[in-house]
Amino acid sequence: MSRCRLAALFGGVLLSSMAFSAPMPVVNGLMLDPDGIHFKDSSFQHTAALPPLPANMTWVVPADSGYDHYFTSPVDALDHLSEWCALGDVIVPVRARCTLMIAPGTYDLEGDQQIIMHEKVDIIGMGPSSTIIRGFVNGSAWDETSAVLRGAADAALRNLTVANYVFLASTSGDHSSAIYNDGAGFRVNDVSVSVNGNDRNYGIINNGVDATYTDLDIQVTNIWDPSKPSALCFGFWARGPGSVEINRAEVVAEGCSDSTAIQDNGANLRLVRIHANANCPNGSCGANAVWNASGVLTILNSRLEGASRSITIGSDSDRIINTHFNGPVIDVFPGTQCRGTYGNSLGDVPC
Amino acid sequence: MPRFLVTLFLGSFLLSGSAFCAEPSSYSLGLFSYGIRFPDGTGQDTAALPSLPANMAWVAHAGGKYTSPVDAMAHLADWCVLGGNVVPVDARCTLLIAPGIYELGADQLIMRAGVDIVGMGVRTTVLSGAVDSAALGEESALIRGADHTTLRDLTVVNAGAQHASSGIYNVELSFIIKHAEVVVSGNASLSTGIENKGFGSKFSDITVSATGLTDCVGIRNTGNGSIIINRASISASGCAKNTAITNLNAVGLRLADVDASATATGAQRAVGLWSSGSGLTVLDSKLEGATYSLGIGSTSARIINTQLDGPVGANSAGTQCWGTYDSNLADRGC
Repeated sequence: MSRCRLAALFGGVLLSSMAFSAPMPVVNGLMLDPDGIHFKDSSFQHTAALPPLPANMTWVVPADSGYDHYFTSPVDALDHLSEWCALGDVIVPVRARCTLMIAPGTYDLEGDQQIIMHEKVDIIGMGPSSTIIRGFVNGSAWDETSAVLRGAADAALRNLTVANYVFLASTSGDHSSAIYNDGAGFRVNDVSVSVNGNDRNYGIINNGVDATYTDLDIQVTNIWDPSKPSALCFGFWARGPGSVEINRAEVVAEGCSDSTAIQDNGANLRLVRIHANANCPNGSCGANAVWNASGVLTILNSRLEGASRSITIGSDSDRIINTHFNGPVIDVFPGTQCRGTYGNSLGDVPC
Repeated sequence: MPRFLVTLFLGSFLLSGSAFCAEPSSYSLGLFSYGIRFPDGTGQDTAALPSLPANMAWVAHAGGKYTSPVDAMAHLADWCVLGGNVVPVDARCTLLIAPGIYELGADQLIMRAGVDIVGMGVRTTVLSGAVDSAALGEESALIRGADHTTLRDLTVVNAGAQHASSGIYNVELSFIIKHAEVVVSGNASLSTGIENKGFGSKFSDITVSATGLTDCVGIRNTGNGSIIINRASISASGCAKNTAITNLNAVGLRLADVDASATATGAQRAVGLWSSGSGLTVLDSKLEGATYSLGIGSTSARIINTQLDGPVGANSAGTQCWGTYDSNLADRGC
């Protein structure tokens, strides 16, 4: 064997022994060996790191929290939906769903930004007290342009708070809502909603579609600016046709000249275990707990409190069962709509 | 450069190249232009991301940041920091606890304001310990609640066997418990599932049981705190005196869809709900106790559409009940 071949063999053995037989220091204590990587903290990685979430999911995290790989705004995450919510070549195909997780924190949307949900893309916070989305949105009408968040068909929103801090908005417009939905099959669960300070304030508007709302806490007020005497506060507004179910909700409307906790204009609205409360902390106003203008109501095991009206019955087909009326009952229909309804002193209140 | 050194370098390069650049016949750790390949054949082509965003951490028996929730809370500043302050205004933190039983021994889990603790479900995440003290209070509880904080989706078991033992103690504002099971089963003299003294507490979808020797209480609401309990099953048994829910000197207790049941054998006392505070409202519930199903301490109490399975005590003048009935569905006025 020639001298040069011997040297080549020796060099190869030397390096291969470093590479394959013993841990090889690389940088500042980081070591590679054939089985994986030894880190300085004594941890060992023997397989490729998995992403922190499965496919079709991603996180939104607070800005400046040092997690640059995630989105820092839910608006941005939905604007770039195709980057994280894709299967095959089609975004959100049939039967596929995506989930946007929002980490604990308060997220102030920029300017008059809206969160526009997409069909089959759920948005999930870490709890109404933990994940708080604040928008500053108003518009010239009660429609989708004046909402902080727009719902979508077959999508869910849960475990977070949506607030419209319209009193801090830089634009003008008389109407503001927290959530507007015209997507069939929209579901909201464990969500807090607040709107404060415009001429026309709506907590949630459900417009003409079937939807289900569960475990809600809605507060719609005009306390911030009592100088607007003609203001309107609707906690939940069911507009147009559609079957809408609300289970377990606290709905408060207060401080507007027309403060109505739940308003029904045309929906088949079913309320189960609801506390609807309208009041006037700024002085006299119209305080109505539930007002059915042109829909059909079913109310079970609820409490309706309004100094002006606890309930306005809008149809002979309305059914109110085992429910507490704290305030006048307006019923112009001849039939029986109530069973097991009672007042503050537990006396029967028929209707 | 001497010729043999050049040859040595080339040999090294050749072999190291074969180790890291070419396809080996069997996998070993390899660095490639696209990233890292591991011996199990997996490849990594981007930097590993943290498992959770900021202000969140996992407790898990393996693979988490901590193996004990007590340890995680003791090192809160290591994972729950924003702007240099621990849990400042508007910041929230969440401690996630993976499935498993976590034995805390005699250590208390002390919650902190703005820091939620979230398990993976009742009986999937179980926090178990044996905490007790000479008297009921903050020292006798396995978990202590905190201001504007939520505890959810887990089971709490305290098997403290000395004089006083409780599952959860709270004296803070707006403490929330959701989707939780609380079991106090160490046969202490004074066994209490949840003791609440905080204002604005809300407990939903919970199951609470307390067993012991002398005085067993499922939920004890005292002080100036108000409390709302929705969809709950509360039981007390095994003690000389058993009370599913006690409302003492408090300003408000509202129950909806609650099954409060106390069980007695022999001379033991069993009371479903006993309230000496004001502002009691009970809706669509079942109160069960051989001694008393219900003790009413105020004329302003309202008990509606509720089954009263047992005598009614301290029945104030006036009407407090509407649509109440007994186990045979006969009217039971009060």
